[in-house]
Amino acid sequence: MAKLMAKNNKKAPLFTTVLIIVLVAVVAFSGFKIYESLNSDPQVQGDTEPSTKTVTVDGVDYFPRQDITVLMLMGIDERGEVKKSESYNNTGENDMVALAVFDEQDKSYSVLALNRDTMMDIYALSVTGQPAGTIYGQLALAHTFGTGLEDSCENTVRTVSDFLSGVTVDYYLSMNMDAIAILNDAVGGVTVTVDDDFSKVDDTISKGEVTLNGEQALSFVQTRKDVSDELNISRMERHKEYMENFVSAFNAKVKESDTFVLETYEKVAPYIVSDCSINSMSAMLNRYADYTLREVVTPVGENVLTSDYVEFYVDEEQLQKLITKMFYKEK
Amino acid sequence: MKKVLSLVMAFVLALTITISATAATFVPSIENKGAPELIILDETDEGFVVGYITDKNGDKLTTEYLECFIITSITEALDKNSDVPDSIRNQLVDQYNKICEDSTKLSELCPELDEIVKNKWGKDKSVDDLVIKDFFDISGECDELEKHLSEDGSTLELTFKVGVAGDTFITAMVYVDGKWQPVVDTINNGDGTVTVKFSKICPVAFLVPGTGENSSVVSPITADTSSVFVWSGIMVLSLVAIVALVIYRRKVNG
Repeated sequence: MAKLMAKNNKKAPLFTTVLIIVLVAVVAFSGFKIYESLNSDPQVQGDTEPSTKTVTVDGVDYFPRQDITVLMLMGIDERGEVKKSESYNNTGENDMVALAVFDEQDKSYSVLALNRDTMMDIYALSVTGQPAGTIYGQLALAHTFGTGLEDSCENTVRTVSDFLSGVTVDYYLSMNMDAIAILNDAVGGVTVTVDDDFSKVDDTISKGEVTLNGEQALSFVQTRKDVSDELNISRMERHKEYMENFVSAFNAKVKESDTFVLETYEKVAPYIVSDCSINSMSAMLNRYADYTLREVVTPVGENVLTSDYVEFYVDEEQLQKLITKMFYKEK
Repeated sequence: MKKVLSLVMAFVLALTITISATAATFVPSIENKGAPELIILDETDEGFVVGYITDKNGDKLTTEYLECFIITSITEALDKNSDVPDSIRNQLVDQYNKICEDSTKLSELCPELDEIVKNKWGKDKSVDDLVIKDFFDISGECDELEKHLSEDGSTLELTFKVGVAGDTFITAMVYVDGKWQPVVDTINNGDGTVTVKFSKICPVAFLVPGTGENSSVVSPITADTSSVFVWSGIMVLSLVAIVALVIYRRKVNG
């Protein structure tokens, strides 16, 4: 017996050492699992099917795509640089909300552009910045809750996400209107052929071929009242011409100067609010550098002219099909 | 950086495509007024009717017109360049700052609201379950308004466009004579408008349920934490075992 005990005593240090190593490994693994649990995103779980987000359209089940990245772009109807409102609300309506959807499968991206007058449930923020239920109104108002900075952008993101059946928005970027003028001036002005009479809006814009300065560019693309027939379709023709010529001028500038892009970005930066740092944004865009623009789509619907304002009601059926096509995958 | 600007270009493209106008005839797009608007009840030769003053028996004393009222938002009051009278500006800004203080509780600002909350919303609810959705001043420009309102028991009924859902509990409080007082008669009309009876025109606050309280606000989904407890337990047990083994080894090694 004494011999056996002595033999066991010799094995004990080795056994306890191995056991301690195993237990340390267990501790480390447990720590890792705790960290993983606390930092996991319940909406992104590989390619598994989150049952709560599955939708059925025309009898077919769909689940959210995991191979897309969604960036929400907001155009804020404010002049000047971005500044914080001292109040609990602000005057910066969303003039434009668009979702850029980067598709990793076919290396392309699509843009879903929403009409600012689209009627929906909008999250409201209280005087002290807390959630205060919802109001029913135009999408444009979503950004006016909060200080006009991140809180207002996040309020818009939540509102739009709900409107689009819970689509996950990965990042957002908002920009004040004056950025258009800055970009216009940065490329040395954009030359367009003016067919409409702008004399009531900006008498410096004459008919014929004109190279627009920043302020003129804003009038050219933004103004509807007192120009032509005041119809959006007429203005959209101006948008198209402006953009084509802007892109040409931009590309020419890029070829001229290596520092053009950086210098231009520095000029635009004070007009931007985003949840991405410039480094994160660059990294993301590097990833999508070679992606091609597939399409820009806008939900169809009906304009209702109230005594005071325009209200736009989307065609729910068409919207659901659009959401399914852009953000979901067939089961 | 080049790609950032490329994105910005795509952004501008989308912006120019979707800028507000879509109407066949010119109708302006919605703007934030900073405070709820008064609802026009009727249009007469005298002007736009927005409310009535009634006596203590409920009989109509006067008809009130839109031109008689000035609504001042916090944004206007905070703007030193605006033409808001100092008396209104100072009172509004003072109370706004008071409300925004971290330590301020609604139950301290207006404890009398609690009874209304319990009676009209639920016995298990309290005033601190509410948040202030709108805060603004309403003042009058017509002499007759003040005169009629000063009569004993007379009230002014006005309707505001607040935008709340029909089933949302909403109440109001007013800042009168240096203190916050509840407005007993606050009615959610179910169409986004709210009707309030005032005994004085003054700063007004509309209150609605805060997060998770009968509102459409949905708490964000959080990660599943059940496994955290399991792994924490395993980690603690393992650490205890390690300590025990180390002590045991020291004893064995003598």
